[in-house]
Amino acid sequence: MTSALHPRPAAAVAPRDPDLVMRLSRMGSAHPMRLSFLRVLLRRVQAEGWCFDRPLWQVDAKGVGRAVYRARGPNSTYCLVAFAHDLPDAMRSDRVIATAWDATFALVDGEPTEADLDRLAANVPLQEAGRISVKELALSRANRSVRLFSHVVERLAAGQQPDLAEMDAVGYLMRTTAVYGAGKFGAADRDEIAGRPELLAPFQAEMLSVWLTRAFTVDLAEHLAKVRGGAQAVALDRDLRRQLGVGNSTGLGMAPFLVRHPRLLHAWMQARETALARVRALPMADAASLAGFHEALAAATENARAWHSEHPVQIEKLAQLSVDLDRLAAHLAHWDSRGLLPWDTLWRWGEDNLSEEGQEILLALMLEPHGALVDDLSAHLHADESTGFPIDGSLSLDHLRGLIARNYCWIQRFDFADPDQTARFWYVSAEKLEPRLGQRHDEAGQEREHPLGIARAVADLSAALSGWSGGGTLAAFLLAHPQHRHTVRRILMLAGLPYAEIRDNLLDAQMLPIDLLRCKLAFFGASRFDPRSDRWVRISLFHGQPYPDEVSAHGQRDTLGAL
Amino acid sequence: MANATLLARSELRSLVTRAARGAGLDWGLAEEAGWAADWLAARGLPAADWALLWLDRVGQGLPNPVAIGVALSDGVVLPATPNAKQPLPDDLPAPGYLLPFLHLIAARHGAVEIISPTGRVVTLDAAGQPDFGPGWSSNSAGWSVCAAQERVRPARPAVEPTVIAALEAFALNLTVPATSTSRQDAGATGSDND
Repeated sequence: MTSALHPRPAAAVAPRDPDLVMRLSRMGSAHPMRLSFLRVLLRRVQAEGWCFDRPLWQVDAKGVGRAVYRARGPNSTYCLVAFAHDLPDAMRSDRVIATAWDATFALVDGEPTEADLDRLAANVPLQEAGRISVKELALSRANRSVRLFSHVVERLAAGQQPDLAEMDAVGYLMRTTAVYGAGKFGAADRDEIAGRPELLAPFQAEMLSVWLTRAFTVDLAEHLAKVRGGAQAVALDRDLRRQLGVGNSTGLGMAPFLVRHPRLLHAWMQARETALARVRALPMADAASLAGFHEALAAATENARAWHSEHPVQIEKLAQLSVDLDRLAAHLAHWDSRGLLPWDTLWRWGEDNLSEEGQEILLALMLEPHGALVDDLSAHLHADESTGFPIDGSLSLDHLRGLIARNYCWIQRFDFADPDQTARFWYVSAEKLEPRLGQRHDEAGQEREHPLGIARAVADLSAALSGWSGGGTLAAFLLAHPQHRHTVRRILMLAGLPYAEIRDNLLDAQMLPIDLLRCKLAFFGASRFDPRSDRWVRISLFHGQPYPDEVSAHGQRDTLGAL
Repeated sequence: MANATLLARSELRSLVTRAARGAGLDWGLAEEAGWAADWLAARGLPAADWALLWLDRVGQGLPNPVAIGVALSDGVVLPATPNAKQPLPDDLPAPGYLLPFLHLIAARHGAVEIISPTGRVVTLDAAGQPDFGPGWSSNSAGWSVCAAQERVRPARPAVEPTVIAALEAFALNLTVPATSTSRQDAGATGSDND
């Protein structure tokens, strides 16, 4: 286990074993926590005193027009350019095939000129069919929750606040259906911006874009309420407003990311596991931490109460979560918080008494009151993914065999002669250019499979190595077996990165893609994970978090009504 | 190029990787094709155009610069002795696509170069900046890879006399014809024998 992130010499607790952590069922029980990316963003803008304002609001009485939201940090300025559209209900679709949306957005590096705004107006509403430039960091779109958006506008127009139950049931005014960054559709490449401290952690530009979008959704609802209600209209109550996040609808497109970016996955997991180990290694629990822990538990219990899903898998998980939270609350009465290594004692109790769902929420709760101890790990969430790409052909095959024996012994759990264990294959649909899962034994197309079945690929490589009677260097082997080059590179690149591989079979008939989605979305900081099938979900981002105008010390907002 | 689309480098890399896989390369080689495109684009070389030239021939089973480059950089056919040469196919499409792989060799073993009957084609050192020679062309006929010969870099630029004469002809445009006055003012009519 690398110790670069573990500088505290007194630490007596090792991070958890990758064989435990990197299993799909546990990854699919992950919860947002202090090191989640949206929390990293919010801590930074608060600590650095970023200023936010809205220098442009040109939206008409129908809610059509453009707006600019500006974020000024100590080093750079970023602007969300929002385009509001009049979308007929019949055209509203969250699927990637959609061609129009209620609103479209681009996050601009710096401040957009008039020419930039005109260029973006000609491209951003087209989304994938348009082009953005190196001056943009993210491209996204959102659709209204028709039910809640209409309800909120009607109530505010009538001088009333929205119904709390309605707010709770939906949780957002708009949901994004795609947020693209990192070079997509012409945006700035990751390596062009990663040197900036505020963009070093993963997905910070995308998180900033979504956070500013959240402000836009409320502004638009209040604007339309004022149009409709005139002087009678009121603004949304600030406490109610906090209960609104930005929804997100996401599907299989997100799932392959964790397999294709193993160095990044390792960085995320190692940071989280290092944080847990640090807390467990604390010799005592101080009063402030205990209070913070109880406060976090209360919030988690309340969140679990409001967290609904109609998917059978998630219903079962939510039920287990509630049971575990009750069990944890009851146990705290007996927990010896003044004993030796109290947090480790609590954690070990959790391992023995809680489900995976309960253990993972316990992890999030234990990190929560220990910001001073763990927040520095947010500087280790990124990874240089170019490292190790070239293959050293002079390496011996024994070296490769040794890496497989040490780092991939987990593949021995699988029997790829069993058709169920190769039942799926990952591909990209010709029709919609989105990742899909096919049934290998029933559907055509497996010859176009994407290399996400790592366990089987390593098993195939091992078999080829067993039958190899040629020279002893990697170069000679790869010349004869170029089909294994991808797997060999991966094994070499990931040596020494124990959390880089998902230690499960992504081709198995019983594999649930939503486990991949939940892990990634928990690192984003998403809440209200609500699967709509085994391969697409809705979630909420920034639910319960402050708005830009609540963290801005000096920001100026213009007034509504510039119709 | 007025209608050219400005791609992000990550877009180009992804596009070429997918295209290479679609053209029939194994995934590992396709990744290498994408990586090489990024390398070339970072140096202002026409990666996409070159990729298209050799991708067209993958399906025909003809040599391509990624397979050749990978074999070289893996060390399978790297010349073992300082003066040995590794011949390249005469009809290698887009031979410039070899440059990223030569850079890998240079980073491990020291500078390498391609030579041809018409002179040095290109030299790659560990820093990866290609130094093109007079033999550079889009035709790989007679090309060989070898360890870079230590060349004595001339301390002063060697320039053909005809080139110097042409440059001086331009430079003369800056001068003004002499007159008797100017000669006199310059002291040309006096004597220095004092």
